[in-house]
Amino acid sequence: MSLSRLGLSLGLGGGTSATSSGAPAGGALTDELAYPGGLWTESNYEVSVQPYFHFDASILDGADASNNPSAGTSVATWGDRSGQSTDHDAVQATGSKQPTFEGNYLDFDGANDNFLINNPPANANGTGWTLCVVAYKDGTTVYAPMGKVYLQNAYYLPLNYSNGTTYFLSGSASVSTAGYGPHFNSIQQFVLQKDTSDLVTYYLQGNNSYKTTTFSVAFSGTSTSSLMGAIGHNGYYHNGRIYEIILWGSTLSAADLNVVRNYFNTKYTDLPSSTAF
Amino acid sequence: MKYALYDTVSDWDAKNSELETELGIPDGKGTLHYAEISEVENSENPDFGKFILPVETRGQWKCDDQFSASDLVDFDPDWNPQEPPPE
Repeated sequence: MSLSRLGLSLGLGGGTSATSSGAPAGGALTDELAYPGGLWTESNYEVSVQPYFHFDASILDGADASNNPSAGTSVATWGDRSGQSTDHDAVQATGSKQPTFEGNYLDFDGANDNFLINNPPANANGTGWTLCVVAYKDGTTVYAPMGKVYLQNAYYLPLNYSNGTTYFLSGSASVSTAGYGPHFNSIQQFVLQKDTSDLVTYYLQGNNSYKTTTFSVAFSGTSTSSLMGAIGHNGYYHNGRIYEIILWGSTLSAADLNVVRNYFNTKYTDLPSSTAF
Repeated sequence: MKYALYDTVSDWDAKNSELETELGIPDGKGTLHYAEISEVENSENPDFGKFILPVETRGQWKCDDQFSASDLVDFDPDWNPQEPPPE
């Protein structure tokens, strides 16, 4: 949810006492992810680039954790906390398709739960992008926290499918499981990044690259929208938790990737240890 | 999630409307509908042509108590077979 629409001051959120600069009262820095224009602009974890969108289940409305509903509430809107002036909230108006809020994650049922993202990305071919995700897959089911476009008979930007194979980008392109594995029933942090030469790299738990491929594709929306909780292929939905999703419309530097990696590892203590970029 | 199958769109609409009234939808917080209609499209399936209503069995929109247990079925992947994932 954009700050301008809420009329909030920067620095509010997370239930913490903070100044308008983002620094908490008393001088100590927070452990929230900070970037220009965001809820926090100063923190122990500062990235130099404002993301395109940032969904953080611990701040469900994107503005203030004290507004969070009780556990078990169905979620119609997951507010973007990036501070972008454009509305990039994730929305689902149909009750039976809404995931459930569970404190610091949303639980997707694997049957039909998904969100559409308002005003989807307009990242053009030839530019880079970086997608960072913390999520969890229930059992041997579908892991699909982020899709590119609305449901159709094609696969767009999934990070993993049920059998451990990672499918990537289009209906006919897939990549192998080498170096990855299915990782059932465990919290994981992923980075999926494309640079300006169209080199796409999958990373797991920090700088553990398990697949690279070359593909010229923009992380952009369509006339429908981009999608969370499904891989874009009608019938294949994420089954499990999504804690946090951040998309940048550029290729993050190694320094910034390490900030995000350490932020995730500090915030989600059940994450496996990670490797520096 | 369980499912109920209906022979006609009007039957499906009537039950969906009944559930929305029971659940307080629209709720003024972004939820406008309870469910979206879909159809069994596999002509080889015995339920071909029926209309599928998802029935929440947990959470805020739980409504399986509005049905007879014998009227609820599990998801059948053969209703609308998906293309296999690319290899």
